[in-house]
Amino acid sequence: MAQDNDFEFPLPSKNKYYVVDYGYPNKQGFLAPYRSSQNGVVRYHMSQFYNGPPPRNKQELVNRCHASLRSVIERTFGVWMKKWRILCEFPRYDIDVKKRMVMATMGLHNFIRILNYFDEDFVEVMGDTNINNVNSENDLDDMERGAKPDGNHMANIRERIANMLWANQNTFH
Amino acid sequence: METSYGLQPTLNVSIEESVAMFLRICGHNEVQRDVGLRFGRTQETLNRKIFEVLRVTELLGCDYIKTPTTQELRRIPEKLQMDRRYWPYFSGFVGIIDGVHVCVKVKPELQGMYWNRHDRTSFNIMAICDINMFGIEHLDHVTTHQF
Repeated sequence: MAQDNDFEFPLPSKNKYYVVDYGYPNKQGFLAPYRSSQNGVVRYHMSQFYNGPPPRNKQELVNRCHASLRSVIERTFGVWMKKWRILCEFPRYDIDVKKRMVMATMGLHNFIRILNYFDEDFVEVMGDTNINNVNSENDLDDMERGAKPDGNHMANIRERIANMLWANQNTFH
Repeated sequence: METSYGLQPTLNVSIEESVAMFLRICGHNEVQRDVGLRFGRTQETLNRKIFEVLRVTELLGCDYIKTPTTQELRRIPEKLQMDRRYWPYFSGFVGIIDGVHVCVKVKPELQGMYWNRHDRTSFNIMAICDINMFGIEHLDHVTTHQF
């Protein structure tokens, strides 16, 4: 990964992690969901849970939780892209200007959040954990690409979360 | 913006006006020509003003897009602790990382590098976001798409 040599990247301490999706390896500091294997399909996306039976095993339970937690960033991108239409519609500027605009609009985005202005764009998506704008074609691609051995440390953490969730399943709702 | 980042008004164009023009460009993706007509300015003035505001907003962005410090990484966000769905299972959570594509105009000879799966040219942005939906931080880089 690119950040390996990037000293500015805020790597978390030993037992902390960022939540990431399939595209990233499950290595120190990054918690990825369980993947489907030859033995069986492990569902991940929220829509797969809404249209199907509840989680059948602990891997799926973790994945459901993982997906709903990860929806925070999907929502953030959603608001950001919706608010700053220059980012998603017909492009008029070249890459240098666009990079600066990304920086500028993200700054303004944080500015709005920090000053806590009432903003209906944010209110709308605030409680919604069901956003699912990932398309499955991309996922398959990611899965193939990311089929590297998982890090042991993070696999242990994931296993622990899985066991805890599975044990407390009844109190989950 | 005037005091902290040194945005200067000129004789004819006030700060408010230049910021308003910038926001119309960014928020509505309007053509510079339309914005010029709306504000009664020539395109030359408009273009100059927009890039002035862009420079200043970038500085503002640098202040508001923070890299978390080690202490902040150790702290557990309150919102996470209050949410029974995730607490105490995801106790080591510090943030979420994901990528997003932003459309961009590219020179024809370089377009091959930027094609995305929606048949558009775009570049990838990687961002980290905390549970309160802000603190977005970007580490943007150009991805080479291989098909």
